Amino acid sequence: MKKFAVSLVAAFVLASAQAADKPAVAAPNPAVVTAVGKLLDSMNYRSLMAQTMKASMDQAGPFMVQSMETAVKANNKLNAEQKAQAMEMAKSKMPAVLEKMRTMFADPVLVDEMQAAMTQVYARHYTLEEINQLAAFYRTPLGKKMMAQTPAIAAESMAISQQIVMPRVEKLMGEVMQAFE
Amino acid sequence: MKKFAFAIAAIAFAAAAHAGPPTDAAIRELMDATNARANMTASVQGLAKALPQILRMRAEEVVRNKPNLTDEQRKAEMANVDRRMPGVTAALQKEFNDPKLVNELYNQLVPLYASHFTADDVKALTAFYRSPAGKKSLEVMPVLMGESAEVAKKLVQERAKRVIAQTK
Repeated sequence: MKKFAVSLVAAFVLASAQAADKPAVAAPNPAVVTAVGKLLDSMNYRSLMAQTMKASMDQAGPFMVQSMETAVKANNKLNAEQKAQAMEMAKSKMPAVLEKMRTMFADPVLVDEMQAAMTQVYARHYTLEEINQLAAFYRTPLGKKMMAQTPAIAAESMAISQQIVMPRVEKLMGEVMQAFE
Repeated sequence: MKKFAFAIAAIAFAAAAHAGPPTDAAIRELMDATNARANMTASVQGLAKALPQILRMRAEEVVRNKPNLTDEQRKAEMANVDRRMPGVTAALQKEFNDPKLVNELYNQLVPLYASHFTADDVKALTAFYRSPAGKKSLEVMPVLMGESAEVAKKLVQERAKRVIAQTK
């Protein structure tokens, strides 16, 4: 979930990069599309996606400010004064940009489009029977419980991984930093 | 389909019997059914690949924020960092390919599942992930996540371009 949010943020920052267009694929069977709609409903897809978008935005703010500073500082065509000016200007525009982004990520139409696109994705990977079976599972008390617990489990498991992994990373980081102390 | 519905009914009826906490062995069985170890190994290795770049960015930030350095000196410090990067990358790979790391992660996840699911939940989830639909969902999951991220990226990029154009 977090990784996904981060990749969304990266997508926003790299907005100017061209996304490769995939070749068109045959439209899936309408019965499958209807079944996927029910499956996504049984998974509470809309509310999950809305939460993901919100999480992306919460991470995007600081990341945007930082990457903008990095870009200005790394621009060799600017002298110190021009860099300062560019930073000033960017900083003055930042609140407006962030506000527009917040609106953009909270837009229900974005979630609609996401659901429509994902319907096609599911329809390409699952058969009608598999879709019906999955939807049946997600409608059981256990399926519902699993969906409800997944974000908490993912967050806790992320925290556990960080506890275990970060000391190792910090150790190596310390070694890199020693190079210029 | 009928068989599957029957399996769900069986799961639902069994639920009344064992509402207590699951055993470690039952959770490990569930984790086996979901290929947890292979997934963890893959994500740890993904991290090992991504980290050198992140570390370099951090080093760059430290160098940039050091006061009273000439551009020349900053360049020299970064060159120094870059000289050390291959060593760091190798050390990272070694550290992250250590099976002890994945074992440690795996062992820590057992109590996590125990805190969220009852003994019956774990049994039923294991049965679900061993069923054809459950297996297929595990198999397709990474692909779906990837495509979902692609779709989101595309949609967000289109909008981001508009936002940026409006504020220029």
